[in-house]
Amino acid sequence: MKRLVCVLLATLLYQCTQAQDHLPAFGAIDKADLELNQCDFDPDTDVVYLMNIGETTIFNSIDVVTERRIRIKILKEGGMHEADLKLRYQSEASYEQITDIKGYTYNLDASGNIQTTPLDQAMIFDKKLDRYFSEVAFALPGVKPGSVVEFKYKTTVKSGYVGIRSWYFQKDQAVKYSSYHVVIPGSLAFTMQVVHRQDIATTKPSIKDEGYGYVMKNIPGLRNEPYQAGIKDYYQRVDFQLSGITETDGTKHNYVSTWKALTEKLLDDEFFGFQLRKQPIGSAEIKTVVAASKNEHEKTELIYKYVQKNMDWNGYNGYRSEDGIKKAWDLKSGNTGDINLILLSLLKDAGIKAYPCLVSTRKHGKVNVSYPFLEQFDGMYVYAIADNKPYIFNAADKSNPADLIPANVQFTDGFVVDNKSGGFISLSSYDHPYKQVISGHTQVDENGRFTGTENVSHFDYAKNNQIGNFTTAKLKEQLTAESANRVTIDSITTSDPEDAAPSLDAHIHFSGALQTSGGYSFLPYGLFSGFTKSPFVAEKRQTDVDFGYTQSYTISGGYSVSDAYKFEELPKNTTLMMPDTSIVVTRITQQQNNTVVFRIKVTCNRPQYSAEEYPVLRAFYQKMYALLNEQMVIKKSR
Amino acid sequence: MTLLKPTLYAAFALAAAVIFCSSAVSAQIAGFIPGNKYSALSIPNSLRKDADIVMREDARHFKIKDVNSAVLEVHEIFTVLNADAKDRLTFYYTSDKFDYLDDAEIKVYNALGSLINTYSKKEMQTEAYGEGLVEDGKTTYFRVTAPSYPITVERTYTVKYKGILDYPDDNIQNPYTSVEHFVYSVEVPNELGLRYKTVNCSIKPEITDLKEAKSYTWETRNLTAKKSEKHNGGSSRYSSAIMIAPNKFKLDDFEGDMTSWKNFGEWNYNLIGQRNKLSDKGTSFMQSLVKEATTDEAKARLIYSYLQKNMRYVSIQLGIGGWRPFPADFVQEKKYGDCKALSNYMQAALDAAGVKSYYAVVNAGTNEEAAADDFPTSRFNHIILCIPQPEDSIWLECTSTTSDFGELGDFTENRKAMLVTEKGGVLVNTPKSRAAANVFTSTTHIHLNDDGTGKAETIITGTGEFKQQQVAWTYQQSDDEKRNYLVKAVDWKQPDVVTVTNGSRFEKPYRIEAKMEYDQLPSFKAGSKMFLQPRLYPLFDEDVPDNDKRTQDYFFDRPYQAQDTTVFHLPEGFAVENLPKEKNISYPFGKYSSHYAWNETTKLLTVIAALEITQHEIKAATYPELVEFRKAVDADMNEKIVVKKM
Repeated sequence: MKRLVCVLLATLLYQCTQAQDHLPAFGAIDKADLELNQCDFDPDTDVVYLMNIGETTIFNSIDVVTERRIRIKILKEGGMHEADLKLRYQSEASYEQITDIKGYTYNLDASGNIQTTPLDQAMIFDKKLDRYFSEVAFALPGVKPGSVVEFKYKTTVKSGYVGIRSWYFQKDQAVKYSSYHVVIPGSLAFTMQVVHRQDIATTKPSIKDEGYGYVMKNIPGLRNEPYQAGIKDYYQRVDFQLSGITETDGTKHNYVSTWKALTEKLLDDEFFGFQLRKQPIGSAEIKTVVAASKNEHEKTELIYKYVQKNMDWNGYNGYRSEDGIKKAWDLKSGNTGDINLILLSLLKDAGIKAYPCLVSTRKHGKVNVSYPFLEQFDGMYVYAIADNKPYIFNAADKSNPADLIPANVQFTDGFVVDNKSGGFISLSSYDHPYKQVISGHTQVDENGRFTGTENVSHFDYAKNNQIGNFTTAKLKEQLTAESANRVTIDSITTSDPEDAAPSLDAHIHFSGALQTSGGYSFLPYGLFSGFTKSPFVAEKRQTDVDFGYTQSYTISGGYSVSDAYKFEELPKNTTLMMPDTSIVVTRITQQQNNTVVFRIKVTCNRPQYSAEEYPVLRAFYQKMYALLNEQMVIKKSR
Repeated sequence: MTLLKPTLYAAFALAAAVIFCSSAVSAQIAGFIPGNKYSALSIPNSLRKDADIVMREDARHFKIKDVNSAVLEVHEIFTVLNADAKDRLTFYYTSDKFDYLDDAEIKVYNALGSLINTYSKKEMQTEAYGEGLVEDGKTTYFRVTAPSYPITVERTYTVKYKGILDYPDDNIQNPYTSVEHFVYSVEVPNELGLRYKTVNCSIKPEITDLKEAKSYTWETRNLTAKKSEKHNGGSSRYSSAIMIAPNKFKLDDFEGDMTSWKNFGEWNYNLIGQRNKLSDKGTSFMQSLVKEATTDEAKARLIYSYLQKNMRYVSIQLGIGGWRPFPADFVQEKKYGDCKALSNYMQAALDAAGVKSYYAVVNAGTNEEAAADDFPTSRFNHIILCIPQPEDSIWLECTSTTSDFGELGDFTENRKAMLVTEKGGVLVNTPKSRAAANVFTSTTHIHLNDDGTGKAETIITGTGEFKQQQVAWTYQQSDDEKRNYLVKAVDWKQPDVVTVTNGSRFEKPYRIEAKMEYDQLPSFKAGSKMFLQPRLYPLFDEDVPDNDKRTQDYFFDRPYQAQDTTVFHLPEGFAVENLPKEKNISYPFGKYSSHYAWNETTKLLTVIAALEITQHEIKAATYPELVEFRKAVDADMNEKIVVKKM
């Protein structure tokens, strides 16, 4: 796969590179499209968007009207639901309207004639969803594999806020032809971000001379893959941001945007910087909390833990406060913006150097540093420095310890909002892997019964990942299931998740009977390692693999076997390594009389692998899992 | 082999489930709060054991005013002890156009019982719900956040009804929930009366005569929490509840009587009216479609095939509380509909072709509970079709484009359905699931080289639910998705290279072929020996945990058969050192057998195994035997065949 190419177009600069493509009229279908039975540029797709066309016109600098026309070829049964449409719009205060819906379904009958069935206007349903949104829903009639459906509609957005939504050339299904035109009056200026890996043509809009147009063709669908970071980063699209308005008297308002300008804007924002200048909240409570702290970093961590424990996240991300932090503090609940603004306010009140840090979580996607717009962020965390030690806090995450970069932003870029010390910082730490250490010992008696103990410790991101599930009952159920009910868990003791210890530990006593075939019995390398099957089954991959952390696993243990058994030839000591040495697996097995000790170590020091590297990674994983699932063999000698 | 991929079923089950059943609701008994029910500290240890949540006070009052109006008042106080019951902190009320949340208040108390916050209905959110294309319901919800546990919540709310099909049930106790005090009282005018039934308990109502009306009150205290065991067929089978149901009801202008299945079916029949008649044009189309067919079954097959190829399921849940189907002509013209519309259309189409059939109302979902003969209610969520036959009626699932003719599957088998006939409702049994209708087979040839590398080829077939699963994963799916069927759904040993091809879904059994290459075929090697697994996937992988004190029944999704033949072609110079013994395991609920054979001349090592789950419901008392069965089968599946270079 070609790497992402991001083109930042300068304001009002376009090139006319080609004439308008000639497209069939709405309601007129080419028989060839009905006979089409596969998509040559994306054989996996269920449908092909033969056309996905949009044209947005901004009238009087305020009304944004978009006309959409979509024509879809249904190739497979799985794609029939693409003919069931739900168009959501913002109906609050009549902000947005959807009108002029028309649709057709085209089929070929048994004798090869084209049949056209119109969408029945009576079967278009318009329904309120909640306070803000409504939905127009309709199902195109007579749809089966082979059909082509076509529909068009108009959305009108009225009100002062002028914006143009992003246009996605790429979808999760194949798109044969996608074009988007915007007609903009000269008084408005936009900045565009075009994300593309395929050729893109820029054209003129059809009606007037002012504006921009883009055409892209034969775009394969983009689908979900395991360990995928923000899929949005990969969609080929164009984003628009209003950058300036010129009033009739010639006054110019500039909306862009430099990071410095955004910083100033945010620091003046009622629900951002303004919140920090108000009367501090909770000062009195915090004084008792930090009373015993001996230095700045202890104080910082205590305040973080206090907010983390006492505030409940309402499930929403946001980089600003929803209704002011006073209200959130009283409710003991808020979005990420609220909770972290509270933390920031308390830290500052306590004299700690702390700043707001805008983040884009891994799922939300990467930040383009040369595109200064706030829409790129979905949260605000806190960047604090105490005794020269840097911290990144998200107090909305109840399981993250103070010294760990929150898992969902690890290996991303954050933007510190401050006039003096602001700017981008890299939120990445190679010192804290996803780390598990397992050690244990098992005794095998002469009848093939075994009893053993195992200690499983989760550090850093592994600790963070496990903490919600760490009760003896849940662990017992999970471990029993992982062993396919073959091992009996006799007891488990766990460390207290509230404990400040660096690891979360489980101490397991187990027993069972060895699997025996023809006098041979088999001993696995570690019973509870969790390495069962490689997650990478697919042979193809479009997006990068993003684990989100570096990894480290150590599995050590031993078997003491009754004299009644003898070890067969043991698996060889081995090292497996990725060509770039980023993943190393070593396995050592040593025997002394009837005792064997072993140690397996897996380290992965890269959090990300590009899609081009996927075949190598996949093959390595396959080998690694085979190695980890090998067993030692003992044979009954008497 | 578990069904991992949601099929169309799942989608409509969800959509269907939400239309018919309005959530259980309830009322306020003002002022009756003895002791401190707000402090978590006052909960006795007996009510903490195995409990995630303690219902301190669960008081409901349902007052029926007349045939189509009623008020439900609810007052509840509960303490959530830990984050496992976090979801219960969210209040939600789902309504359709026949009921609405009139008023609601939520108060939150800390562990000591002091009030932290009060929320009114104004602060709650309301939004439309449902995955379907069009639904007419909405949900009002409010999420109480818990900075720490325990936390106590008090809810007081009122629901008003202006159209009643069913009266709200009341669940006394859910799993992991203890109950300090429960009271449900119902007031009903004498002219209407009501019916009631207690489930998993024997509480008798206290009946008070109020002149024009009667009041029924069920009350109980101090119920300790009960655990829920895995694969128990749904915890409602074991939970105690009070069911109440109307004698007379009214939705929009449609008044009905529910005192018998016959009468309730009559209401449904009148609701359909002439909607199950095709126009003359539609009728003659159907007649010409079946003109070659001579039997009812042959005609039904042709029409069902036409339905599957031309109509699609679209969830549009409108019309008299989701009970009235779109007319048959609508479906004929638009070629889509929901379960009601498609079943009604199928009935009309069969009728046009001279074949009698009945619209059948059913409660769908794997191992869902059946309707009770003696207690008619409207607790249904799906429609299927029944073509009566002298023996073994034909049943059709009209929303699936992939079901085989006459096969319902475990979504609607083994339960009661109400046939809607010209003579009213008739409660009948749907077909019983049969193991022979759900058959999985796999035949594999493995070519092993002396370095442990090798190739394998397999042919997998499936009928019944296995076929449905295979179709969902592989039919018209991408190459990678087909690989996922093999590696994830069947749990096949992951090959280094694999191609999977599939047959036509119109064939029975469905057929999948895979060609694989392995870098390492044996489980492991030691010296000159190779240890081979008898096959490359687990033939039996049901979750049957050890438990010698099981109290709840165990449910497989369905009875089934699975058969495997694996043939190893050993490399030159190799011979079998050890061959596992033949096994024959038999219990009343299941059978397993395996056979191992080594032919020195042909160098072929053949392993044959057959599994059959004959009964899918296993009583708790028999559970230890099921565990023995699982262990014995597991031991054979994990045998290793030792081959050695001679």
